[in-house]
Amino acid sequence: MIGIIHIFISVLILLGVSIIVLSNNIVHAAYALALTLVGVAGMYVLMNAELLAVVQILIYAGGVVILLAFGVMLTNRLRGEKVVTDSGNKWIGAIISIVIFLGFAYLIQSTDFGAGEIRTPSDQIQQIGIAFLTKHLLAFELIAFILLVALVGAAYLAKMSSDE
Amino acid sequence: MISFLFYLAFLLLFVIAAVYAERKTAAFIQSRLGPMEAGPKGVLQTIADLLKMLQKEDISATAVDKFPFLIAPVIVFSAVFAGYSVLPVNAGLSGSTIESGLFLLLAIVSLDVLGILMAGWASNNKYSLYGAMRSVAQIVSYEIPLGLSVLSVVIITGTLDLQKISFLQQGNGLPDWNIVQHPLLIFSFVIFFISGLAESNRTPFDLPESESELIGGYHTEYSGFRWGIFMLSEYGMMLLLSILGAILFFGGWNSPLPNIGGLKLYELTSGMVLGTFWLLAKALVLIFVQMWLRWTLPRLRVDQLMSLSWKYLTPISLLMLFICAVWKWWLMS
Repeated sequence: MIGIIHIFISVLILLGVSIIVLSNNIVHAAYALALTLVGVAGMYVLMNAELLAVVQILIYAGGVVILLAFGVMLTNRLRGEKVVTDSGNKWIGAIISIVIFLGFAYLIQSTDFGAGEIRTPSDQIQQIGIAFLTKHLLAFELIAFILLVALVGAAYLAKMSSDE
Repeated sequence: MISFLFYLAFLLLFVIAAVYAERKTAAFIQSRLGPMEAGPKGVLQTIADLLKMLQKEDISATAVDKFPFLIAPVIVFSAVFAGYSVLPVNAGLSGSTIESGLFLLLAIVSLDVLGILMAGWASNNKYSLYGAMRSVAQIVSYEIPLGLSVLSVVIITGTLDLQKISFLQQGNGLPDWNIVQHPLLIFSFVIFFISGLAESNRTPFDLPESESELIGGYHTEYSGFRWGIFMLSEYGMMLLLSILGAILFFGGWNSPLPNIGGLKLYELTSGMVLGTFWLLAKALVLIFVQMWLRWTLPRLRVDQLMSLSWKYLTPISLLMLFICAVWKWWLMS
């Protein structure tokens, strides 16, 4: 059963990625990106990383893709222009991605990740929360700070453009 | 799994009853009679409407973007309905027991924006696109106060599992409800309810579909069954948020009647069937309040909508989150 779901999700991800690369319609590409990201979230669930899956759906599929699609629509459709992009350099692109894929596959296969502790997902969130506030406190606070700076910067830029 | 199937059947029945209730509530508030012709007091009106709707042709205009146009209603409904997977029905029947239950619910429900955007864009119609844009801006903005007000409950109860939150309110009826045990949550509930109205695109936040200015917003171009799925999702969202509100603040499936001395009212009115009854009854009361507000309040302007979310609800809910954290700390120490 898990195997079938695994194959199904993999096909979904590959389908999404192919549409992103091959489609000429940038909005379709955005939808395909959402499909891919939800597929990846499904993959996380299969690997018992439940919290990561939920965060993936919330931030990437629910946030980033929607902002992306929103941006595309606001800039193109309202001006009445056709939303068409072109994919160029197909052969070189294909070769480069195959090389990168093989390189990563080789590295991952040859790396010894250790025996790897298999966590039961019963107190995952608690563990992650405690780790954030003790072991990785500096990183956690830095991320919060950077996000705040980005937010303030974005608000400032938006205000500037509306003044003109 | 069983709870999921239960809610599917309940939702379909609920929509038929809710449309009738909505029209009767509207009629009562506006001093009219409402539907009276089909059946006694017009109770069969929704069924007649439903049959009419199912027979309609599934029209898609020539200029629509075919595939997204056809699939958009399905995405909206599946996103909303996926939220039901973690809801418990009664003490013995919990939803999916994943650890991040409530978090998953909020995350997955927010995906309906994608379907709405798809519908508005694929319709190839100015009004649909404006409706979709308004809807997305609104839903994305109101998710923040919604999430923060839910978080204050999570801080106090210390769990994301809705069944555990229900069990924490078990014991003695009304006095054990979260909102009575921790009166601070009244403010959180008000914010939760307002944001919930906005999330389900209900009046006074129905700007995305405001029929007087946008002809119906993102579902202007839809007809027949696909339009029906949009309506189903809207009512589904209302019910989902009402059940969630009932679980988080009003004791879930626990009976409201307290034990008074030897009179064990709470024990008498608890049980599997009665538990289900209490949960749904509480949710339906909240649904009634939503309908009542719809026919009482006028629609907000776009700028009022945004300033309500960003200037009032978000800061207040952040403050409430902080106060709830202090309250929890005080309770623990």
